[in-house]
Amino acid sequence: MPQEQQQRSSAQQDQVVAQQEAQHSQQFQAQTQDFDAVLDDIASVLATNAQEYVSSFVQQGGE
Amino acid sequence: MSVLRPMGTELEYGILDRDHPNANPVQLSFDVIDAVATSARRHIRWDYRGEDPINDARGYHLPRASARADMLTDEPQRFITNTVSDFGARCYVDHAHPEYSSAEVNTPRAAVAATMLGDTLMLSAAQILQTQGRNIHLYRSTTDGKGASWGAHESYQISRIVPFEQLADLMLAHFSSRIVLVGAGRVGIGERSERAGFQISQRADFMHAKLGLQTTFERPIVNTRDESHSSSAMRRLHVISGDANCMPIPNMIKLGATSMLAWLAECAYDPACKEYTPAAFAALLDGVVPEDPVRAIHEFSHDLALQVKVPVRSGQQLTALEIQHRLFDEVHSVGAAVYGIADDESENSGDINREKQLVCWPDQDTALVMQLWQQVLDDLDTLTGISDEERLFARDAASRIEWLLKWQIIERIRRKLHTNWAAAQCAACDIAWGALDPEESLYAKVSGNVQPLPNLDNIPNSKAEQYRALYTQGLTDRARLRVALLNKWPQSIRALSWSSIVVCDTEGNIHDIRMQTPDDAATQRRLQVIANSSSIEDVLRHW
Repeated sequence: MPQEQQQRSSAQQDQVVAQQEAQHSQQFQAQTQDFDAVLDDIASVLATNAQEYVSSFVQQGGE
Repeated sequence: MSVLRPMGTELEYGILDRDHPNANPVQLSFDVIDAVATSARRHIRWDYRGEDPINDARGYHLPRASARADMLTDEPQRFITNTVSDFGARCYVDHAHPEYSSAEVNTPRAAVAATMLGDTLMLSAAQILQTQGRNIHLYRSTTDGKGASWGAHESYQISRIVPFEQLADLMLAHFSSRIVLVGAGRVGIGERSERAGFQISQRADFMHAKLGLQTTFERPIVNTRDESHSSSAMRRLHVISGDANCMPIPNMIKLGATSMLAWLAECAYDPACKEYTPAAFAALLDGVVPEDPVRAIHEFSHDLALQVKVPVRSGQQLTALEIQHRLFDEVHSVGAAVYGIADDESENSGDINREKQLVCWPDQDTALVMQLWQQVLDDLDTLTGISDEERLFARDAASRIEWLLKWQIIERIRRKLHTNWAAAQCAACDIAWGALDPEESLYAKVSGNVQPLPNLDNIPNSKAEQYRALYTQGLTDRARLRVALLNKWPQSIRALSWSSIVVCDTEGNIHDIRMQTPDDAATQRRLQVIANSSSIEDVLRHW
């Protein structure tokens, strides 16, 4: 097989792998469970200590 | 070339002692870096000889006497202590933050793995301190919302055939507009959160200049530091305008799209590339560079509906998304001309999400970056101009867009608590989002809804081995050699930099091993030499 054709064929194989990877990505389904339980937990923690948590987070500048 | 090129990331972490909120952050950072160090490598110093932080890519050298003290980062006694990890990363104290700098890798996927490995390393340091009764917490973010910002930097090697002025123009267009794809989201508008609300980018409000050497004040969108850590034929594009992303896809697009645009610029000026010309590149720039990039990045960041338009040089008014579409389309069409179009035998020709025409990109990373870049542009098209109610339920897009997921979570909590954006609860969510401690991290709690990269776990601070394997595969030649020496003969290494290793033999003689470029044709042989050596002299003799 001429070298150019080999390169093209290899590029197409890469393309197939990348497509498979992309399909894998597209098949990803976000967890369908509702967040409400998680969010309720977070909200209840925040209701009591958010102000102190935020006030203490003071940073110096960097790059 | 393609998306593959030497690249790396640096990340400064937010730091807090929860038991002593007023503790000196510089000392806390020293404590963290000290906990990262191990006895085998604690003695290794950083070699600053190759550094020149005041060399300006615009063609001049800032006199040292004119530089602000904090620009002279090559004077280690002022600010910095260093340690080197067994996988070749540099950890140090920079200003008032612990910083992690990954070794150079050749692929964006390896660079994403490298930055995640940094979290693993830094979290383990915080956990070591916890066993000593300390309560130090680290944060993957770039602002406290109270006026302070710190850095999440990227570096890309790019050929000097591209004139800096044109490269800078391209990156002004890209960095001011890419935030809609890869912004990490932030509660508060203005450096000190002067206005309540949510914006797309953490870093945008801290950008005050188009170009400049400085990184800690009047921060520029394009940093002009010219310090290649490579041969004189190459420059290093040092990017300081980005956010600290927790999600993998924004990280991948941030690194990958920027690298593809560097490739585009190289095509324009490479005489061997007949498919693209400086004139065509100039026409692209005319149609994408905002007249006022600083105003553009601020306004784009504040507009969740993605409808704000700014004037570009051609006189047209464009949204950030329109600028990104133009950049993507140019890369795609030049790629099609250079590499050709794949024979389309696929049966998904009716799939509207499929890339317009499949370019025969020369490697998987490039094909994946282009697919993800287009996917998120499509996502953003569906978000343009929609209401808060509609945006709140855009679950699929939120699995790939960090600012959107963060906004959705905080907006839902805000509604549950019947409060407004000025409330401490919203700011608390923003801080907790990037906490490294998995119990504290808001991101970790919702990461089941985050789309992973292929072969890269999306759960933070776990599967360190998987990150490590991906990172190791992508290391540049000289990084591979550095890692091999660090693991085989750590006690013989006196000092390291990106381009040198200073070794002391058993008789006390100092040897300076220079590795000027990231590529090294002798790597395989030298790795074998290191593996087979029974003394450091063996290595030096056969190097």
